[in-house]
Amino acid sequence: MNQRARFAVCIRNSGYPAALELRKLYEVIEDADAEKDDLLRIIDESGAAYLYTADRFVFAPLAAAAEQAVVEAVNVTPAAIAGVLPEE
Amino acid sequence: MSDEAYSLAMALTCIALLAVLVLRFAQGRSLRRLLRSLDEQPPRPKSDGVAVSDHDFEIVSQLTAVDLIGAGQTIRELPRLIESYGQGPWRKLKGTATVRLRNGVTRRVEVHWYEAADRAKKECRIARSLERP
Repeated sequence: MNQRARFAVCIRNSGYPAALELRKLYEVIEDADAEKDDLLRIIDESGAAYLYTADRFVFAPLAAAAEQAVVEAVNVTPAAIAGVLPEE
Repeated sequence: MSDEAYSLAMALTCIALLAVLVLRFAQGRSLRRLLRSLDEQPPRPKSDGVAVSDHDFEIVSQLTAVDLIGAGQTIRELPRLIESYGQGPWRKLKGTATVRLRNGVTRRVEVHWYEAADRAKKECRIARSLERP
């Protein structure tokens, strides 16, 4: 089954002003063990996934089209962009 | 009103105004001093010198296996670090520690943090648990 990406909006970044930006959408990585401890695995500003307390975020379910667009925007590499841009 | 009474009234008014000004000035100074002292209040250090007030967990053991994982421009979020804490020779490090989570549970984890020369550890984050298979 193709699992949908989960996103959450940061509502509290105290103590982590460099790693988290308030009101920004972050991708949540599935981590059932962490969630048992009220933690979420978030890909933060470093580009790596770290555990943060769940109360720093609210889940933001996206419409399928919006979700697809966000996932593609995150995954697009410069090479991929070059491949779809028309030649001058 | 006689001239003497008028002068006395004026003198008393001036004294009263002066007293109000002195009081206001003193209040302003103490308020400024209070604000400054709040600003300068050092973060509450815990076992390994890690401030925990705004963090998601508390480090309750010594940090071990400390290793450098990034420095300067190799740190992707360097501009945000500088914006938040100022210029410095920023480094990103990792180590192993036992932490106490907000729910009271203790876990052995790998933590990552930033530090610059004489500054305290910043933004300690749990990278992964070391207790799971």
